[in-house]
Amino acid sequence: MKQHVARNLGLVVGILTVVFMTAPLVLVVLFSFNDSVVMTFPIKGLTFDWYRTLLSRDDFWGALRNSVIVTLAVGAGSTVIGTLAAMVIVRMRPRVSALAMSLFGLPMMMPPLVLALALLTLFSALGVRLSLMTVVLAHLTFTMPFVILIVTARLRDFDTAMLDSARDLGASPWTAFRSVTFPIIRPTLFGAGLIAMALSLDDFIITFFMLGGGNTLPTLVWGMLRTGVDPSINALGALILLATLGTSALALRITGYRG
Amino acid sequence: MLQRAIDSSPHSPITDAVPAGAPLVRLTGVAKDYNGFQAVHPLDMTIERGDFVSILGPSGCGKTTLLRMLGGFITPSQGRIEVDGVDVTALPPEKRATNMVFQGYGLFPHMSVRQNIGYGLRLARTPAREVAERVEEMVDLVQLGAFAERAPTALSGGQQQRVALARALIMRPKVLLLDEPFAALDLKLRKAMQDEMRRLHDAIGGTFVFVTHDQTEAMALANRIAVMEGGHLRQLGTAEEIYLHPANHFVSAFVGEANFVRAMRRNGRVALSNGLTVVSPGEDGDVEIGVRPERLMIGAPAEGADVCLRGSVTERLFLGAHVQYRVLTESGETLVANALEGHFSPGDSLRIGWNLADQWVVAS
Repeated sequence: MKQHVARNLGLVVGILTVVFMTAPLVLVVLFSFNDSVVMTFPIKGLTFDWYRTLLSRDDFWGALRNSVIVTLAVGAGSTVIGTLAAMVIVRMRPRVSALAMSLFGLPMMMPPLVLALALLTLFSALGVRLSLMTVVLAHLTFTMPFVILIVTARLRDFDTAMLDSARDLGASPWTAFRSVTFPIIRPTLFGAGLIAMALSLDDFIITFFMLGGGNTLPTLVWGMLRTGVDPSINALGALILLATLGTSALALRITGYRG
Repeated sequence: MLQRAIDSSPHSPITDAVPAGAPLVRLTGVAKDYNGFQAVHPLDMTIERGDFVSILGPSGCGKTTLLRMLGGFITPSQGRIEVDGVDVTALPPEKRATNMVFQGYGLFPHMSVRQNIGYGLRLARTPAREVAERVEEMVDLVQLGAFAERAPTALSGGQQQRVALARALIMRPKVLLLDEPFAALDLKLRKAMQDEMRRLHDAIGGTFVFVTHDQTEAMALANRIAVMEGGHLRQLGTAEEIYLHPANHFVSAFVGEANFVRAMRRNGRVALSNGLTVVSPGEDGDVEIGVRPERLMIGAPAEGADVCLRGSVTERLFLGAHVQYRVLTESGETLVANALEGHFSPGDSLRIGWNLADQWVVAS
C-alpha cells in the first residue's frame, strides 16, 4: 500500500514538473493565436492577426535576414572546423585527446555572460568592429564543442580497416576521405551542423553583446518587449520555437540519436 | 602505379621485370621499434614468385606488424623492403604493387558488392567498360553473382570475405597480403574458405602472404611457413621442415606437440640416456632431443627402435583417432605417445622408444 502511494506521488511530482517547464511555452504559442490584445483567459477566439502584424514589420525581416546569415554561417563553420578538430583528436593518444576534449569543451561550460564579456573585451582590444562577423565568431566558440563531441564519437567507432583498404587500393589520404570517410559520416555531420544551428539561432546573450547594429530574431524579441508587450511577440516566439525544435528534431533523426 | 599499369595481362599477376631466379620480395634487416618496444627485430626474408607464404606465430609475435610493413601501412624503423626489384620501403600503400585483405575486411558499407570490387580500378581511372568486365570476372571467380548488387552489410561473413578478396585481387597485385583472413569465420566455413583459397591460388597463380596463429591452417595452405615469436623470425621453411626438423625449442613446441628429453652435447656428439651417441653439430652444452608423440613407439615395436627406454604408464586417454599415453621413464621424464593400439593401462611397465630419423636436437 505504502509503495503504491509512493509510486503515485512520484508520478504526480513528475507530471507537475513537466507542466511547470512546458506551460510557459504552451502559453506563448496559445496567446500568439489569441483574438485579444490582453493575454488573459478565457480565450475568446483564434486569429492569425498577430502573425500578420509581425510579418508587416520591417525590423522583423531585417532580423530574420541576420538570423539566417548567422545561423547558416555558424552551421557550416562549426561543422567544418569541428570535424577537422575531431579527426585530429581521434588520432591522439588517449590522455592527450582527453585533455584536448576538455579544452575544446570549456566554452560549452562557461556562463554565456562571461564568454560574451571576454569576447567583447578581446574584440575591442584588437580593434575589431562589431558586426554579424563577430556574432558568427562568438557563436562558433560555443557551438563547435558540440560538433567536436558528436563527430569524435562517430569517428571513434569508424572501422579503420575501411580507410586502410581505400589507401591499399590506390587512394591518397584525401581521396580516401572524399570517397569513404565523408559519405559514411555525412549524416552525422549534417546532424551536428543542425544542432549547432539550433544553438546559434536562439542565442540571445552573446549575440546581444556582439551585435554592432540591427537585430537577430532573439534581440528583436527583447527590443519589442521594451516598447510594450504586444501579442505579436508571442507569434515571433512561436516561430523561433518552431525553428529550433524543427532543426533539433531533424538533427536527432538524421544522426539516429537514441538518448 | 606505373608497375601496375605494366602488369595488365589477364589472370597473371606476375611480370618478368626482374630476371627469373631473383626473389619477388626481399626483406633486408627489416625491423620495427615503437618508442623502445621492439615489435619486429631485424630480419631477412625472401619470397619467391608463386609462393604461398604463411607468417605463423602467437598473438603479439610481430606477424601483423611485418605484414603491414609489406603493405606500406607501417614504416620500418630500419631495413629495406624490395618488391620485384623496386625499393618500396618509403612508399605509401597506394603506391605499392601489393594489395591486402584486412582482418575486419574493411568493406565500404555505402557501396554495393560490385562497387566495392571496382573501387581500386575506378581510382586508377580505368575505362568504365574495362572496370565492368573485370568486376564481372572477379564476381564469377569468387562466385558472388547472386549477391553482386547487395550492400556488403547484407552478406554473411564468408561472402564478405570473398568480396574483400575479389576487391584486392582485381588489382592484380604482385603480392596479395592477407591478415588473419579466416579468423572471424566458424570452423566449417573456415575449412571451406581454405579450400577456396587453394583453388584461387592454383587458378590465378600469383604470390600470397598470409598471417595466421593457426598452425594447421598454415600447413594446409602455405608452401612455406615463417614462424615468428617475440618479434623474431624463428624459422622459415616448408611445412615438413618446420614440423619434422624444427630449428629451436619454440618452433618444436608451437608447431604441433613435442616431447623433450634433456641431453648434453660434447664435441659435436649428443649422448642419449641409453648410452647411444649421435652426431649433432653445434655448441657444447645442454640440449633437448625432440620427438613427436605419434613417432614414439610403445610396447613390442619399441624394442627394435634406435632409442629404447623403460617406463610406466601414468595416464591413458582414448581420443578416438588414437590413444594417448603418458609414460614416466626410468630417467624421470614424462613422454606423451600417441598410439593406435590401446591395450596398456595406467601402472603397466613398458618399453618406449623412437628412431633416430624421427628426432631432432635443439639448444635448451
